[in-house]
Amino acid sequence: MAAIETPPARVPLRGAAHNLRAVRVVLRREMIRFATDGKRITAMLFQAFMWIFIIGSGFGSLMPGVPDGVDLKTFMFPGVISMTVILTAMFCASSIVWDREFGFLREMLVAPVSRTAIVFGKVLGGALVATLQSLVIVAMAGLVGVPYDPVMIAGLVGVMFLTGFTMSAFGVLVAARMTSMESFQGIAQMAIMPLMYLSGALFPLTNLPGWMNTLTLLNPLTYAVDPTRQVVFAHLTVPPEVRAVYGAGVRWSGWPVPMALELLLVGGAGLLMLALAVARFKRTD
Amino acid sequence: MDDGAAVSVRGLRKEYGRIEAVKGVDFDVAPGEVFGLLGPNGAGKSTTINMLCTLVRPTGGSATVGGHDIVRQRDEVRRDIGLVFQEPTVDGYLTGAQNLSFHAELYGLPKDVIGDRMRRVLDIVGLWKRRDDRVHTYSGGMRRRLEIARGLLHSPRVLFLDEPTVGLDPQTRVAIWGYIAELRELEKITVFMTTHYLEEAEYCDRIAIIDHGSVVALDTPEALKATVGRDRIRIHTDDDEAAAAALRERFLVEVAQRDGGLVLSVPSGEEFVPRLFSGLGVPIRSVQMTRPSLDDVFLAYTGSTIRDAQDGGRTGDDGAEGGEAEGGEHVNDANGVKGVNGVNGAAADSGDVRDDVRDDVRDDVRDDVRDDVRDDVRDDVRDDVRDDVRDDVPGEDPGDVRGEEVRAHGRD
Repeated sequence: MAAIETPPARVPLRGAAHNLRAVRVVLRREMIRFATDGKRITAMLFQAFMWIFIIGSGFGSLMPGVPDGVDLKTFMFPGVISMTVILTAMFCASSIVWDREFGFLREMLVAPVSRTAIVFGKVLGGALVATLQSLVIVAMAGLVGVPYDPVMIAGLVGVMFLTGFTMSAFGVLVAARMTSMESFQGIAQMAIMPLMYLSGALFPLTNLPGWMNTLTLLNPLTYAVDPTRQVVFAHLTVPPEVRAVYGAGVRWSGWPVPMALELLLVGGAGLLMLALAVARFKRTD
Repeated sequence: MDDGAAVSVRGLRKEYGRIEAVKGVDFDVAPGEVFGLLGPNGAGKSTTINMLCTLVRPTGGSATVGGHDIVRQRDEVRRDIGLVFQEPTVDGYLTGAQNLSFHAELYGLPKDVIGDRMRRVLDIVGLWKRRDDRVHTYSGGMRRRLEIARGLLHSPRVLFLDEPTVGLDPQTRVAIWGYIAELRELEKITVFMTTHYLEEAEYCDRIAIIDHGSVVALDTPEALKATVGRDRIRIHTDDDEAAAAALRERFLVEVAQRDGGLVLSVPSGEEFVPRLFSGLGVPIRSVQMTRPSLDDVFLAYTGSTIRDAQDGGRTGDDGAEGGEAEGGEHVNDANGVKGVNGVNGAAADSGDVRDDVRDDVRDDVRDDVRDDVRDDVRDDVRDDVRDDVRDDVPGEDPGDVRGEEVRAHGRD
């Protein structure tokens, strides 16, 4: 049956190049799955559309009118971008549970390659998929009065990727010990929903009651959502009183937290969770 | 420890809390051997294989695979083994080729050999033509074959097969065994497998019977059967009452009367039958002799049939089988057809297949194959398949009769 004679393929000893290939192929798998899953992209787009144009317009009618087109929709636009990054990254991470349920995880875990490479590839893949998915939302900028500025888009890509990385790492950490999709979704929802509502993605944090303000400042997602908004608002011309409501930024008892620090916090949290996730996967029964 | 052995196991133990899943097993597997671990579900087969594959850390004892220690040299072991898991582990979203190239990259195979190796292993399992189809569209048997191809891709020294044919229809099972026999020739590797199908244990060079976490017997299937030793004879006579009396008085053997026949059990059937003809004194219409089966061996060593032993843990397994069996085999695939023919050959060869296996096969044939085949297979091949199934069923009748015989004997 096998007509051709081929020499046996010897597996090399573990090395940096080998681990790099493993990272790449795990990442590539995520991309293939993303590319072949058109429904997912459409569903996410529909959801974003609903948030911005239905919720945004609806609640926007309650807010003080702003003459020159910047309204709650514009405010929500970066928020929905962040939300899309967060949800997509979590969704990607959930595929680990899927892989466990369908056995593919074992195929990866029994390979002569470091678990760090596998987890890192997975997290990178999640970040990349989340970024690509959110770029579809970014493409709607014109509909909410945001210019298609290349510098802004580049900035957004950077922030989205970082957020995606951290959320993927968080998702993988959560997924590491989950054995069923239901429990993962339950836990993810329980964690993500309050974090998202308290992050300033959907409404301004400026005039919140004190206790809620404290919660938003403790919420790590706040520091992922705010940079996204700052990047967008930096390219808008808005009257100062509007900016004061919609683009105020995060303050620690009056001190405006610089974007670099916010990004550092997000990235640091991501690395921490990546390390924890790797540790979880390194443990054998 | 024996350096020459492909797998060497010494006092291997695994405890989960207070439960001792594996209670110190010892065995060696020679290079090039097909070695089977036979036992009911929950006997410790999967735990043993998982320890040897470095997925589970043993509580005690030691083992080497390809000369490498399974605890201290995990990476070396992993490079040297191929794995086909009990549950399917291929990615349905990817194509067959993508699944393999994922594996090749993960194992860091040299780029210049990947193409040739892929071609070769896909040829062995007959999936080369389907390589660019997504695995979603594969039948259960094709997925298993793809897994075998993947397990071989990196030229392992030892191929581990954990219940490689569970949940597959009988035709596909036989086809899978055909591939395993073939690749053993082609790839010169050691095959280590677990199974709870007794008929499959017959394919092994040696079998270790494992029960409640311990190896209770280890030898070739023939030698194991010889240790049990008794042949079963079923006769039809003109006067069963008289024959039974004669057998008890003159031949001093226990006789069971059942369905118009007599069933007895003797140490050496081929010597007993001539004596029977000359000394019974009642005209004999037919004689049937059955060699001891692996089920008898299993019974002798564990005190229960494999089916009984499994009753506890069987429910969940059945569910899984039902799910997996859905796909059936696409018989329009050239190798599928070959597999179908193989069933007939095997049924003819192994005259002494177990009654419970027979029941399995018949149920499977009835439920899975017929329905699946009828539903799945395209019109143009439907007739061929029906013929094959029809051919297959009459071939089972002798087994059916023997099945009753074994039960009759068991009742004594």
